Amino acid sequence: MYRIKRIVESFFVLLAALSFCVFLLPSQATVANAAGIETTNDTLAIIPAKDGTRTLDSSNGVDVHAQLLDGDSFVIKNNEVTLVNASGTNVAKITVTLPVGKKVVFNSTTSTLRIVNSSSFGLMSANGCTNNKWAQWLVRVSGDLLVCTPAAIAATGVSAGVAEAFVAAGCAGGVEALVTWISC
Amino acid sequence: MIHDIVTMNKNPVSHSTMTGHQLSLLLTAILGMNLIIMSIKEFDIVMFVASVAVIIVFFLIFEFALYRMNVSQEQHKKKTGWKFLIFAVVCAVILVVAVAWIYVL
Repeated sequence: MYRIKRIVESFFVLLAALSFCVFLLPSQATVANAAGIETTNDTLAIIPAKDGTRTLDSSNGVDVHAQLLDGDSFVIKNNEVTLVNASGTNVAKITVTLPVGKKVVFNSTTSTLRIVNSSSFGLMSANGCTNNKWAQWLVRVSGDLLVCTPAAIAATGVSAGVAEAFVAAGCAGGVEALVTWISC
Repeated sequence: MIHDIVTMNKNPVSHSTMTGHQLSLLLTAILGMNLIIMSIKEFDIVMFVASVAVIIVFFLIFEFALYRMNVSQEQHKKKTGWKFLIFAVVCAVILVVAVAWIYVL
């Protein structure tokens, strides 16, 4: 009887761990649904210039990925996006027609242009989300410490082991979903 | 006190075949896994060290909580954990509202 109980308990603990891992997977899909740029062709624009050619690619149907040269940057003012090269010369200017409450932002890390909400509060990256790793880390720690830990301890009264593991895994998955929600 | 915790958590926790130490380790692993994965993904040693520090805190909290539970069990007192549950729900609501207000709205 003791051995059967132990096997059942091990099975549920393993199941809880697996269910937690599944929560980690869908972050890419959520990010992919978050933007609003519509394109029809894989290559949105090819920008020839004296110093080289840049391309704007929208093959993923979500963001516009810019293949730029070293030192290039985008200057965004209202609905005008200007591509500036390393010496400060304007290479191209794109005028974007945007719905009310939207604006274009350029993520230099991923080299992508994206249309986002223009409302903002101090800490966020002005597009209703953040990619700041420490902000995400803080949300994870707060969730785990203030929500998951007491919830798991509360579950101890019901059935230590199985229930605790399930509650902890489910709660950690919820915290992960919260982090995905605020991520760009 | 520390000796008491270490000794008491060698016993199986109520309703379970796992000892207090095993259960603490399991819960710490479940909650700490995402922090460690994130710090490795970010390749940030500072974040990794901070995550390990937080994970140690998780472990100590679980050890103490299970110790208290085992003590209550020995004294034949029934612990239901409603206070912890209410605290967790309140914190969850505050966290979601705060995060939504700061980052999303």
